Amino acid sequence: MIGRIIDVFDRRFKFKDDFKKNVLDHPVPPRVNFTYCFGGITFLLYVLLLVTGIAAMFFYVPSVEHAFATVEYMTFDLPLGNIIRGIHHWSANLMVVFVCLHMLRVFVYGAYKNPREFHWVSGVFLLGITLAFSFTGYLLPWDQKAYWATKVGVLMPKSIPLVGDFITRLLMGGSDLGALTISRFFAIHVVVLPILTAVFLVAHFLMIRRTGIAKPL
Amino acid sequence: MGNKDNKMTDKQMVFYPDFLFREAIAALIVVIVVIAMALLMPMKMGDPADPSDSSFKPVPEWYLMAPFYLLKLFPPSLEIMPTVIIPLLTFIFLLIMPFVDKNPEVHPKKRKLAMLLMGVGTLLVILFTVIGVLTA
Repeated sequence: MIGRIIDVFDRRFKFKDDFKKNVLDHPVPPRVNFTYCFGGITFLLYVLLLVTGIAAMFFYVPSVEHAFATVEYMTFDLPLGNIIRGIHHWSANLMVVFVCLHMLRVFVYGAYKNPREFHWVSGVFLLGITLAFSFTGYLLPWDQKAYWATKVGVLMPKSIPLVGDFITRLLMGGSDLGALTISRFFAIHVVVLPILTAVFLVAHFLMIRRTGIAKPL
Repeated sequence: MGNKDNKMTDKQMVFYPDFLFREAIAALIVVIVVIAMALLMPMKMGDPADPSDSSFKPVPEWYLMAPFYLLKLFPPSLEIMPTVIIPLLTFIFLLIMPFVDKNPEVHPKKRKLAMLLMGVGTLLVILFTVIGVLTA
């Protein structure tokens, strides 16, 4: 049944042979160990974050008046709300861990060397994006620790000569942390960063397809 | 005999089903761990943000603790070091690392300087994070 449905689409798109050749039968070096899973686990955690993030967006309202109340409703009243928030929170924490483990593995195995320099470069951008996700997401519940920790963060660029004030104002959407900050952080968290992630992830994955993964030591 | 064993383990693998099977096991473990963490450590809420209450002592999440701790190490006159210079240099260093490290060897034993630098860097980040979390 499923095979026949796939065949209907394959007659139009002719993807079956390419998929088998380029994905399923793609060679993997022998003797890869469990440390080779770290990148895949990072991607899995990102998928969990996407799914739970979309679920959270069904209830969350990014405004000074409603942010705390909607997160509070999710946390204590919404059925499964606490689990959705919890999976989002812990996946985010674990994702930072696995990005670092993945980078350390790639470093120790010398896998960033020619011809895989740009695999590493795209990965460093993904690390930066991951931290930006964490920083912008931290503000959204709009509780005391979110507010004051974000204040420390947005004031950091202020020490840059000439443009520092401008960058801080740009992040906050004004001279203080408020309604525009929460809109801005929300837009960055749910639109800007996912698009950037998609761009760098596709590059990351396509390049590793072309070269194959580095041989174990 | 030993030769035959080597041939067995050195057999070329393909993505499906060999590699994907391992990834699937790892994925299953991770999903179970994440759900267990969500169940065992339920989310709580702090007090609503109060911009007028500046007595609140902010603590960042552990993964941003290293730069936060650096902030306390430098005097206010050198504030630009922990806020901008050090994070920026770290990022740039990581970006250009594959082009600076021209050593074609991949085995860690033949890359002593690279391993030493990465080891020291990693230890410093872990150290700042641990001290930051403990003193916060």
